[in-house]
Amino acid sequence: MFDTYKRLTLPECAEVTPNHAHSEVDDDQSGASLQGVTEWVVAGPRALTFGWVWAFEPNTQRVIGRWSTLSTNLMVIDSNGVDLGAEATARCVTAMMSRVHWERIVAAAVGLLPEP
Amino acid sequence: MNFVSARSNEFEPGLYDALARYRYRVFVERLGWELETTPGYEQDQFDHEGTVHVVARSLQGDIVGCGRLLPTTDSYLLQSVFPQLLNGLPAPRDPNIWELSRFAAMPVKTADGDASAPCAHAAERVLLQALRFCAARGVSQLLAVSTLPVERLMLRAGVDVRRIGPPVMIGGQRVLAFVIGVHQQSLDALAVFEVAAASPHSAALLPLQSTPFVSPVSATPRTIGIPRIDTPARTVRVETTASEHNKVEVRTRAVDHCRLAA
Repeated sequence: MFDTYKRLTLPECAEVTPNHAHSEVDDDQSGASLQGVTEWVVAGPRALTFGWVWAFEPNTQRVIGRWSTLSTNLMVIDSNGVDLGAEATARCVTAMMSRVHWERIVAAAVGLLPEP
Repeated sequence: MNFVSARSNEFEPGLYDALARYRYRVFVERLGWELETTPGYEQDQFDHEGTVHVVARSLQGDIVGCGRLLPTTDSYLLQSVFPQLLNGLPAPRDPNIWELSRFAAMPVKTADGDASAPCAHAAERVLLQALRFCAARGVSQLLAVSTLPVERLMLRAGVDVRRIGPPVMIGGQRVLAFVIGVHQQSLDALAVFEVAAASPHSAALLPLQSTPFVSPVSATPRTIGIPRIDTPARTVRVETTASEHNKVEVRTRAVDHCRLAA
């Protein structure tokens, strides 16, 4: 079995600062809200990678994350080194991304807001 | 649509040549890949008599999709050509791990003229055939070097996809490596598309976000949020400027992209 995960405990995740790599808008915008994809990375010998779909909600004028689309090589583990699974990892990633105010960065990157 | 999954030395006469011509039209002419190959005929160092291919053909007999399956016990693309996508991990060498490459699903014009009509859920069905071939041989994982839209398509279909590392710009496109789990979850997720293609009335079975619709812009059947593999490949780079009243002017530039595995 080829194990692709980079494993971190929750305290280790709290120390991680992801950097924005790329965001774009989908060409197909027939849905209710503008949406696209965003890519984030934590560089290193074993880089962490995070990609997910964002959407701009016109009513609230906010960018939101479609976290069910998250794709990453991170796996969160407990203090015993046991994998905590995809849902726990997604919660960890959303918290990590909230710390860096990803919504503003994506909105600026795709022109929904001025560059910060 | 019907499928052949076999080693090229088991193909019916003429099929391998037709596949090489199809690959040239897709990867070189359509997607603009800079491949060192004979004009009109795409093959590389990984294509030999024992190489396994999945070939999808329309009811008219035209090739409309393909995929190449390489065991990692021999030389393969990720290990030999794109090791930087391994993200520091050693290249697997395991009889139960294979690689999917040259994955495509789109009709192209043949030498005779018109292209076949797009086939419903062609990409998902080509992938399903590849996974079935692998599952029957005890293969548990498929490596893939591909683009973000392909990864997204697979995730949306419900396939078990795990990234190896971050996307890297290669040839003007963001390319990444990931692992496809060859197990019942992935097979079941893709089988839904086979059922839907056989019975258009069963489209309600499909994942909600994959419901086909007609784009008001192009009037071309598309899949919400992601270009369908069986329609002309386009993605859009967006240049935006904020204007008064929070309106956003979006200028788009269509760019052919590789929705397909390398």
